[in-house]
Amino acid sequence: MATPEPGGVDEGFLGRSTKRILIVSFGILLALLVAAGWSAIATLSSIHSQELAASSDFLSRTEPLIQMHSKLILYGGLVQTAPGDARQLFSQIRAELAHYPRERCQEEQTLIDHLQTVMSDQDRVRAQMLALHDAQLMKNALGNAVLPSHLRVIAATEQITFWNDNRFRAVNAGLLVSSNQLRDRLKILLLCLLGSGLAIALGSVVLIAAQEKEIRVRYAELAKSHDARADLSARLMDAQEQERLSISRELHDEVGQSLGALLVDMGRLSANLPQNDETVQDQIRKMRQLAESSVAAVRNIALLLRPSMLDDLGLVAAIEWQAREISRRNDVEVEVQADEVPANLKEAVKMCIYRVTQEALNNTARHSGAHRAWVTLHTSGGSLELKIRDDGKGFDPQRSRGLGILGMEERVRLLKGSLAVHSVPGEGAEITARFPLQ
Amino acid sequence: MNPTRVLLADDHKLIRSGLRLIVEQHPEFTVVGEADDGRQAVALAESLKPDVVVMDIGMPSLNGIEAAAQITKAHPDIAIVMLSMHSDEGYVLRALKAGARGYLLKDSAEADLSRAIDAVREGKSFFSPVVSKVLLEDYMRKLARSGAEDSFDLLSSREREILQLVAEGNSSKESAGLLNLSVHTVETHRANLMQKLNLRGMPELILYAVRKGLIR
Repeated sequence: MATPEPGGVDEGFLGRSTKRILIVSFGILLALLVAAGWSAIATLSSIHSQELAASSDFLSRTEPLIQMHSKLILYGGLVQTAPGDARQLFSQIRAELAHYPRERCQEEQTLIDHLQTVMSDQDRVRAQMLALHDAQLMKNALGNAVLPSHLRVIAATEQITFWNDNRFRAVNAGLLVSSNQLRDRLKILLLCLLGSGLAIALGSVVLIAAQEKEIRVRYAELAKSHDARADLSARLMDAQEQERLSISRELHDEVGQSLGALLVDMGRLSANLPQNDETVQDQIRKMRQLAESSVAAVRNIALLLRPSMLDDLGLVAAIEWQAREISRRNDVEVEVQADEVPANLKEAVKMCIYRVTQEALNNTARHSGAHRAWVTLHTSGGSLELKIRDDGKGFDPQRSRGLGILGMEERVRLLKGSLAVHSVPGEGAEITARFPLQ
Repeated sequence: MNPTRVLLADDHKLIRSGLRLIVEQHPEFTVVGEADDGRQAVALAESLKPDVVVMDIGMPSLNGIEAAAQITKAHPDIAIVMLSMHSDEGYVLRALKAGARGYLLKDSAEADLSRAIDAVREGKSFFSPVVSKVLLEDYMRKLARSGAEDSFDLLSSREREILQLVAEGNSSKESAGLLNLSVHTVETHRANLMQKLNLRGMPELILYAVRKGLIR
């Protein structure tokens, strides 16, 4: 069996050489079948025409012979009672012989010649008998010459009949032999064809089974790599969130708290130093301002990385906070209408809802030119539906699918949810994410 | 008057010691305990029965809002000052709903903590001035963008007075005494103003008052 060539994926399921072998085998099989059928038909028709010729030969000879034979029997009686009528009948019998086919083999011709001879003999002895005028003499001549000669004529006729029967039998036997030969030949040929057909079929089955197995293996590999990719993607996203969480904690706990403590210390320092020393107090004020803006910067970074309200207040409050933050910093006013989410909602789903809202609202603020935006979060049936809508300039979702939307889709899909983007240029945009609830 | 007994709850030791210094500068305050997470704060509030708990919102195991809710549910007489990094109304409203009467930003804790402890000890409310400012800005911006009218304009001057007194922590009876009105009249005004402002419950009323700068 041909193994697929390297890079067999491009060759189709079967290798090129395997295909060629299969096509050639099936072609040969088909040609053999046609040839066998053709020769069988030709042989059969030749046997049939030989048979027809033989039987017509036989009949064309038998017919005059039977006529002659039956008339000869009549003649046998007539020659004893009315020899004059008998002479007329005999000439009819001789005329009957003229109907016997002309094409004859040598043996046959000899037999015919013999018949002619004995018939002439009969004519002669009957004429001699009729020439006698004595009744007794005529009776003697009849018994001694005419009747024996008549018997010889009958014998000669029967000889020809016998020969004719034999020849027909021989031809038939020959035809039987050739038809038996044909049968045997066909039998062998058909057996050969059946054998090779079976072999080819078996080969094909084995080949296809092998190919199928390979396809299954390849498919399994493909599915596995796809799963692995999704798994990797999920873990990357998880790792990203964890990383953000730890950086956020680090910033908040270490940097933020140290700065906070520094602020408190500076406050106490300022209180302990003479209030009328303008230079020192001014310097401390500047230091405090610097520390305060650092605290604010650290807090903002930490919040971007990990919204602590998600932990402190829950998902709905975090979304409301996000909406207010966007409203404060941009020209768009965001309204939130949210049901409380189920208490057992997975952390990953909460995070996903939060991030999708964040991304969508940022897109709205940055690109849409919207003045109003609405966030709704509802449970309906067995799913949780998040919708972010704006009254901005919209876009064609078929054409522009930014990385942001792809990222949202990926996040949602990893949690077995679905994301739909609906927008018509000039009529705002709407993003809907649905998550199944167990 | 006995010294005010204060319990400090914050997961950072540095902050706790800073807070302790501020509190103990005040002659009438004394720190009776320190908790470094929400669960410990609830347990210590139970065993020490402090007058005031100064509580950070962001704490591990049980956050400050949950801890405050548990404490005020078991001991309504314990006053709570919430410490937070956030001036967002989501935090303020949830802190109020959890029963906190004071809400301080950590940045300004040093300047305002003593006043906040005093206020909540007397049953009054206290909010960092920055919080009022942020809430007011949010509110005004929203009004301007949505084109809605300020429902505050719908209130009569009497209703405004009562709104402020109630939000500051005065009962209907105390407000009635201060305004020389009957308790019934005060309660009618109060119900009317809450309907006009579409407010549900005290936390929303206080938040509204803070937003309007009626409490500081």
